[in-house]
Amino acid sequence: MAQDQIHVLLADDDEDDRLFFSDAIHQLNLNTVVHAVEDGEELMNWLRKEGNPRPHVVFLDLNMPKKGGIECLEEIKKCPHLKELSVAIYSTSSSQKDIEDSFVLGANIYIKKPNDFNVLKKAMGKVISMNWQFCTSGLNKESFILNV
Amino acid sequence: MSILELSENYLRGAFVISVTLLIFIAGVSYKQFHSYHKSQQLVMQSHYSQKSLQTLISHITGMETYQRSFIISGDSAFLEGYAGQNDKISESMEKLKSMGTDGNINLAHLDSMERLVRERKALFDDTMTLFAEGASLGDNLRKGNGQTRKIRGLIEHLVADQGELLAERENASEKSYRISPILMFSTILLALFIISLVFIALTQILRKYNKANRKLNINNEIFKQAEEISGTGHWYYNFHSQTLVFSDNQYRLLGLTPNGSPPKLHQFLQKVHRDDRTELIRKLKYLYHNEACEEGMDLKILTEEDMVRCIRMACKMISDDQGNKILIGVNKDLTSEVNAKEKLSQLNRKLEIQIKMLSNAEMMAAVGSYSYDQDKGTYEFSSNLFRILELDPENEELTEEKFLNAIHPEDRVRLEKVRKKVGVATVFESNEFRILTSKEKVRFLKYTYKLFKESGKKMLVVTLKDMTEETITKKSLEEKNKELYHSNAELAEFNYFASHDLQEPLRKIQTFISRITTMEDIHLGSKGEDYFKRIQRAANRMQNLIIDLLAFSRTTNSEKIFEITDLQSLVIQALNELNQEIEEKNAIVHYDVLPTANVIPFQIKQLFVNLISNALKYSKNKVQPEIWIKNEPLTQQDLVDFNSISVDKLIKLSIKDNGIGFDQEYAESVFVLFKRLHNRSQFSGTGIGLSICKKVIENHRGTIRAHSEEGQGATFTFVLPILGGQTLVP
Repeated sequence: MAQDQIHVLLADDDEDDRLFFSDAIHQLNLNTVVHAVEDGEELMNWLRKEGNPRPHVVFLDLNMPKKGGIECLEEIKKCPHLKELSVAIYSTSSSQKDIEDSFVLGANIYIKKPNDFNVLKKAMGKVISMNWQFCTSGLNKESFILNV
Repeated sequence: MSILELSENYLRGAFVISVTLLIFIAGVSYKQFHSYHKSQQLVMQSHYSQKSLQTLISHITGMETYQRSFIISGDSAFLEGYAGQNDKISESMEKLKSMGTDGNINLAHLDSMERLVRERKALFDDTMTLFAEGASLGDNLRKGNGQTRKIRGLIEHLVADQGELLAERENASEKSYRISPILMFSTILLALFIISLVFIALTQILRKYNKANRKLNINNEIFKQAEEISGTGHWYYNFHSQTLVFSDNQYRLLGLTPNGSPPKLHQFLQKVHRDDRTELIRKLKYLYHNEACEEGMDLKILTEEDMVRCIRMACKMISDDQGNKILIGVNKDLTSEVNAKEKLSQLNRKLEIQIKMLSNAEMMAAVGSYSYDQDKGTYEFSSNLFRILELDPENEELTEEKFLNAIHPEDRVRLEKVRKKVGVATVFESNEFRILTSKEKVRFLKYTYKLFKESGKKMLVVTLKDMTEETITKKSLEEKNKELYHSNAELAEFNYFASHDLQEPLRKIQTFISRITTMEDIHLGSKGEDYFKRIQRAANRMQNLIIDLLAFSRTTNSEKIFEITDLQSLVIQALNELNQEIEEKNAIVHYDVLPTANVIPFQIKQLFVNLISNALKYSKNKVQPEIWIKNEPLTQQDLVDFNSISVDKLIKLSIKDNGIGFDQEYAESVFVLFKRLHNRSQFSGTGIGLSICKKVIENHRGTIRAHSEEGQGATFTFVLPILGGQTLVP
């Protein structure tokens, strides 16, 4: 059972968002374990710490104290051990600049935080059940933003 | 010349001497010849006298013989001879007498001769008479012999005399003959000698003359050439012979061929231009009467080809050695000078105008300038430089020192360095400096300079632009720009705040509401549910407001990057974005093949999105919404609106719907920010959408108009320049 568990890691400084996130995932009943950290620094530490499971997807909020999502993304992509990780940007921002920056830096998907819990659930379901191997290979800008 | 004159005198003397000598020789010769002839004649006469004397004696002897023969023979035939001899004796006697009168024979002797002859003749007659009487003849014959002897003796004497005279005369004649050849010969030699001298002298003189002549010829040629080159000509008029002589170039000046037929004075005067002729004639008359000279008068003459030529003429009246009055004149062709002068004065006038224009231009452009002659070290300041320095160009002076002192002390050192460097081509980093005017005001100047060589002179021309106003404007602009930059930065921050931070709590509210309403284990009751729905609507509206406001501020502030874009593709993108609404409303959208234009793509897409969503939103109940996007022909009004753009550089599109429309009265106000025509409960909306459209069209320097009637649908029409706002001068 434990071997089938899907680990996802979320970095978000907003407590409410972390709550929505884990609630949504739990309600999906996908045998998923959510690990949550509060900022970028904590995220990097968690990732580097031995013994921690390798997450299926890393969800990155962009606007975080200490270390922002973009910086984390850069760091992950530079690190040889981590660069293969699938990264999903999870942000309130819908600004073109943020989308483009994260795309250029190698994020796999961009999720704009929905304002409806049901939509959020749908989105999570899609992302987690996504076949990342296919996704990382035919990357394009149109499919980068997640449509729910 | 004096040598020639001297030698001429010598030659004249020599000539006179030689002529005198020759005349003398001729005279002497003649005289000699004459005397010789005379003496010869005398000799001849002597010979003749001798001969006559001998003839006489022979006749007497002959008469004697005839008488005797007659006497002896009695033959009367001898009487004939006897009478003949008698006549001949008388004849001879006459001859002798005539000779005697000529002085050849001594007359006394001749008289005695005559007497003796007469006696003898008488004796003959007596003898004849005696014979006729038959008397004795012996006495008479003896007497006769004696007389004949006497006569013979006298004749012999006379002949001897004549012989002496002859000898004497011959001697004299020979003597004179002997003296004259020597004299003549020597005289002729002398004359020849003199003539030879004269000849030698003459040849030398001739040689000199030839040499002088050659020089003269050369000089003459030089003179001709000089006249031709300098455009001068000369002429003279002999009042006595009434002849006018022109130099070669004088002909040319008058447009004639040199060495043509000599012109007459009146013809020459006819050549002079009407305007000057009277004056010239007056002057010439004056010259004639006063023997004065005219330093120079300027005349216009007409050449053969009817061209007007300007000449300057100097005249002088002179008299030659025969007292003939001769008027000489020298002309110079001033045509080219006059033309050049005319051109120069035209240029000068132009230059003056240009200088005035320049000075006006300087004033307008707030530019002053000065030139510096590096060789002379002199300055020339333009009048506007005076004005910049607040000096009066008319009454105040500007010197190098004064100008340098006007430079602001803080800039002076820097400019001094520049001043010293000038001459080497250097580009200076900053060419701005300040000056203090005479009224102690600070002005900002900018300089440019140029060094150049003008006819060998090194000139420096410095142009100074008064940048005071520009500098002040620039400074205030810079400040305003800074402010703008700050406010823009603030706005950007606000934008981020609005897009992120402001939406963040709202999103949570919405999410929590959605959670609550979907939770099965919570019972809200019907009122609670209604309230939650109202909260949800309010939250949604706020979110829309935020999103629209953001969009509006983006159209105002974001970077406006124009790209050549296919408008049709933008319409398709907009339709894709609105896909959900279109499907919900089951709307039909028609669109033409749309052109390509230079636009800001995301803004135009936004424009289409807003206009189409508006059309969908305000559709009629129970009527299938239809939307038409069309190319429209340009109207006169559009051309007036875009008077600087030609027709083929404009596009006009319309978006028409079959919705509820609105009163034309509101056609303007629909574009006003937050302006709404309908109640929120009827139609949701923020009142920003059309304002964004207007903003977008303004960004593209186009126009947008709305046309509608209540219940008749609405049409939004916009016109855009194809090349976009960039190419337009604001």
